[in-house]
Amino acid sequence: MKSVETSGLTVRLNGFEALSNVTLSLNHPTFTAIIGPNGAGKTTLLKTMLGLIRPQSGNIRVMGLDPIKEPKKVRSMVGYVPQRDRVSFFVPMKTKDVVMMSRLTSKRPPRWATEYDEIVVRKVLRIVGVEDLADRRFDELSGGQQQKVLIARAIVSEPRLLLLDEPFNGIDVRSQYEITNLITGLKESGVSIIIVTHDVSDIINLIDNIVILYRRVVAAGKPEDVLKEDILKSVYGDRIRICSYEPCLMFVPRDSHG
Amino acid sequence: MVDPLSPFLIKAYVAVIIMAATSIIGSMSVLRGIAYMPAEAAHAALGGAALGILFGYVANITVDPYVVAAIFASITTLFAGYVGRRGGSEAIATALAGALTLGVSIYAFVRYILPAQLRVVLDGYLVGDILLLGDSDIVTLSILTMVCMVIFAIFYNEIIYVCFDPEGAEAMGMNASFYDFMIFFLIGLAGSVATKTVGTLIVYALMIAPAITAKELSKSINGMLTLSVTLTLVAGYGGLAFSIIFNMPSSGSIAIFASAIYVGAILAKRLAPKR
Repeated sequence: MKSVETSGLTVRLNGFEALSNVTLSLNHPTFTAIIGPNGAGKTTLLKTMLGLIRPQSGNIRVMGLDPIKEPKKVRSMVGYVPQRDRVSFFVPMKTKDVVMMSRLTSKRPPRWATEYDEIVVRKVLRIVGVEDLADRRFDELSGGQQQKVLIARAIVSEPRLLLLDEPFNGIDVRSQYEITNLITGLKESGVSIIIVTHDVSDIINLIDNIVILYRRVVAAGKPEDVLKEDILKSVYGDRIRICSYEPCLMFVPRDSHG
Repeated sequence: MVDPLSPFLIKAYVAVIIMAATSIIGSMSVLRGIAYMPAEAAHAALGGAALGILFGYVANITVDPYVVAAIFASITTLFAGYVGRRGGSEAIATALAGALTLGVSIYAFVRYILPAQLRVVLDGYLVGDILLLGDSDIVTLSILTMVCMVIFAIFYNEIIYVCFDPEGAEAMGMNASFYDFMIFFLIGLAGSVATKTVGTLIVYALMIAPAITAKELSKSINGMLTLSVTLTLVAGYGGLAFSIIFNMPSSGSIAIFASAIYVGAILAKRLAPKR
């Protein structure tokens, strides 16, 4: 069983080729990091996996299903954590209601919450370590706490594949560590994790694969096979700083958000 | 002294309740991050009403200008929503600015053509008077407001989720585009209701000022909606009483009350000791 499989995947957005002939094969369960400069198509690839973007050509299968033909089935198996800044802070939602969103969207309108839904939401908030914030407004939480709540929202529906879009952006080291532990625990329980990030330093020893994306797959494989100076410089140019961090090279891209 | 139970005042009391209901849709536009849209919808409604009156005058057929206003405003906001989904918030703003200009231009053009007695009818949409609503107006506005409220109540969760995180909602299997268009449609419809009730010029003060005030003071969405309705009722009845006592224009007095509540609430919040 593959968590994600693509062949010759090409995606055009507003006349621009965001992904070109992307071919990938990721096992299930996997812990894979997708890295690449801004505009490399990382988020586009995640959205294509969810069926939110229709590819121009090529094939994609997520957990064995075509996300374009069977989006509901795919989305019922996939948890998605968007970039935190994609969420509106105009809406004074309580933390527990943010998590409940995932439970209720799987029901039909008017989508009332049952007592069981409430119990499950509390349980997941406890798992991610923010149960005491259940009644606080989401927009009043710290960046790290918000990220944990968004992860709780994604895992409350018990997905088999979790997609995280830059979960470490703008959060402190301690929160990064806690989120990494959380994600690792999910991987150990059989959930596939695909994480888009600019900084793999905290997860380098945990991930199975790295995909370097720059509209096409530049390199994919085990971290020690992919994080090579020539490969990194071909993507990020000569301006990145590379240092040795056994068993592979580490780098700090200049255009990193975090 | 005016009889507080006189028919025109009773209709005004009902109209204030209608405005309070439309403030829920105003709150929705604040949550969606398009607080300016009800005002734009109101200007589109003005243009629609002008066209309705013009049809009646030129073709000599009976057309309820308000019906044309509601259709025109709803189409305009739906179009803005469509443009916005393709081009982002700047595209929405541009589309609505165009709709505002079009609405006002149609109003000015039609007003130039119309005879004096019809100009008064048209001007009623620009600077409406809550005290001059007829029985049929109240019935029409009540029905349309009920439609808005029923749709909002049934799809409450969907609307909130699309306001909060449209991408995430779509990823969870919701048809976010459909519900987003529903939001735009409701704003258009409610904007036209508010236009007929209090006039284009002060729709913003009544649909949005209470909603923004409520958002500043509330800890939850339900709290925000409840407070928004309450503030609109306070502004509505307070402004009405003020206008009767001091012989002032009623809609303007209500708008002044709504704005004063907003300013007072923000000042109180700023001056309150931080806990």
